[in-house]
Amino acid sequence: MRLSELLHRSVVDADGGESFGVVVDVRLVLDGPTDSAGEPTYRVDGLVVGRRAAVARLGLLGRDVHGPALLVRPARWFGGHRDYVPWTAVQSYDGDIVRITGRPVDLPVTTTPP
Amino acid sequence: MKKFLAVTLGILTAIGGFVDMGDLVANAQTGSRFGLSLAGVVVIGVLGIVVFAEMAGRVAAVTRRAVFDLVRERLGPRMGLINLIASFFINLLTLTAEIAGVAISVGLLISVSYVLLIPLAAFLVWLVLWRMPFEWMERFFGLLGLVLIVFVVSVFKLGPDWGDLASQATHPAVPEHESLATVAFFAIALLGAAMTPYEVFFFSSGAVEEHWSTGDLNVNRANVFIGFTLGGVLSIAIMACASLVLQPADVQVDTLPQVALPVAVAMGRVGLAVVLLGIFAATFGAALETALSAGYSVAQYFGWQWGKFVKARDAARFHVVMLGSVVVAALVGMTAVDPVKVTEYSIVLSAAALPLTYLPILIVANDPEFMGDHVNGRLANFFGSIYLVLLLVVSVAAVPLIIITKGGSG
Amino acid sequence: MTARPHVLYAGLHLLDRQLVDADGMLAGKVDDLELEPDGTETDGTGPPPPLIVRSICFGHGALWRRLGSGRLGSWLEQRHDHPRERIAHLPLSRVDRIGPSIVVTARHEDLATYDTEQWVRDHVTAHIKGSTHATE
Repeated sequence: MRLSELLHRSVVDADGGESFGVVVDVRLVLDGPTDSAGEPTYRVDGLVVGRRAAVARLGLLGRDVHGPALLVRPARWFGGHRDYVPWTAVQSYDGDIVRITGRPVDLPVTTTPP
Repeated sequence: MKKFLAVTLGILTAIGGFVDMGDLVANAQTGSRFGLSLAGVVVIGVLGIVVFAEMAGRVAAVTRRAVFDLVRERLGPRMGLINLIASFFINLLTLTAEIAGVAISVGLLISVSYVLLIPLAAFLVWLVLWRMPFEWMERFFGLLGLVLIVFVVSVFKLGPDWGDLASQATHPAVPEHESLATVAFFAIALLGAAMTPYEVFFFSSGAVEEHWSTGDLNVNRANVFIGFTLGGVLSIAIMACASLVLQPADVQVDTLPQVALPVAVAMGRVGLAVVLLGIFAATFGAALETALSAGYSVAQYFGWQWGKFVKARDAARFHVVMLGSVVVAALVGMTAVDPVKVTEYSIVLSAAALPLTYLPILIVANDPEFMGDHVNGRLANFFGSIYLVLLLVVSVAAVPLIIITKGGSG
Repeated sequence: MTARPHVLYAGLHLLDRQLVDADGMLAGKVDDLELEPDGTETDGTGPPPPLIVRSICFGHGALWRRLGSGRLGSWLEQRHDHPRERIAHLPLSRVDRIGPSIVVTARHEDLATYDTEQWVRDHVTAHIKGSTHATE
């Protein structure tokens, strides 16, 4: 499947149906199984969940971002809290909905970008 | 020597980008209707473009990437595409106006109807784009455009009451028969003429074309401060000329020759020839920049190879986009559509589209991941933020004002 | 900047980034990523298998699909498989460096984004004199 198909899917609680937002990004870790060339692959470690995708794309994610308060504060307010769903919490992701067990947690701290 | 040559990029961008059809028309119209009352808006516009061009140039020098390249990345492909379509359309309008300006200035010099000269003008523009090296282009049109100093000379020759001029500029007043909406419309037009997106696309892509690196950052700042300030001085001189000659005579500026009229009054036929040459250089330079911006923005959105620094056959789509734009602009121009009206629409719509362009620049210029130690300082962020708010207000007000003031004639 | 960082965010660091080939030529943008489940499909119960990034997708088909036009996009993508056989999916092992742009070990003429470039070159610019010069 395409990443673009996974993005913007609603994230809901598998049991109660409570909505937590939409998938705004995907965290990748270079510890997947090796491919045919013998190189490690990126594995989807988890889903980043937020309220508004557009704002998340502006790159105001994570703690490393600096900027004038005029940009950063409204962006945080608009995008709301960015939460995290580890892949292990995902129950299913077919159709337009990602069902998870439990609730989203805080973003992992090691968000150091390349 | 290299540094001196590098400064000419800024000068070309200032003259060609600043004093283009938009500035000629907007400053002359404003001068003829409001005297120097709106001169402060030009100052605000100059400061604005200085702030953002410096940022865009810095981003280009540090990341080796140009503005539109980053628009898609920061806004996403959908918003990036909307941005591209809007910018491209406005660019085409502007290009139409500039090519018409080239044709008009030549037509006045050799007494031929400008509509007949449009195909020739378009062909010459395209030929320069196809064959002339980037740096030669800058040098030639930058130097030639400097003759527009004749507007400044004319102001002196017209022997104005300096005190009166100064008080008009520092105490803006709305003439009785003009509405506040019209003043706002012209203020927005002036701002759009000073801060057009294509200038920033061209400037930042040009920086990549010229292989700027972090060592060139001071040159970047010199370009911007000297070059754009020069453009601003010329703009105000155009406004002053119009206010001294056209306003007392109650002449509305509807055609390009009327913009040149004050110089003819002040300096006779020689002055007229010089100013027409200057207008030719400025509009030709602007046509080049606008066409290049069209190519840059499309190629950078899709990630195609672009630039004059590669063989044309390696950037075929880039060149074809420019060729297509020039052809369309020429065809529209040949319908004898009013070039001044086209110009007005292009600058006001440019003003409305500014936030789309400047927001990504502000964000990327703050991103340490891209910029390392060269992220925005507090001064750049302070001004950047204020301008973003201002531009959002302008953007929202622009289209309603076009309607309310019936395109400035109300 | 490490060549291939241990952790990154697909949307933030990969999507819409410029692709650059080994010679420094521009080769399109990362339009999408192809993900696939690793391991055998379970019988539907239990957690889904891990999801691996198989390749970077680019080209007009991939872009249209990303913009939401699934059918047009897929149709365009299928056309890439015809005669020229250019690559429209690049496994991440061919990625040399991830940074402001993504440097890959393929040549830009071999990538799908070159299709239209070649067409324009052959049908338009080749007919105009002077296309072999760089105007630098």
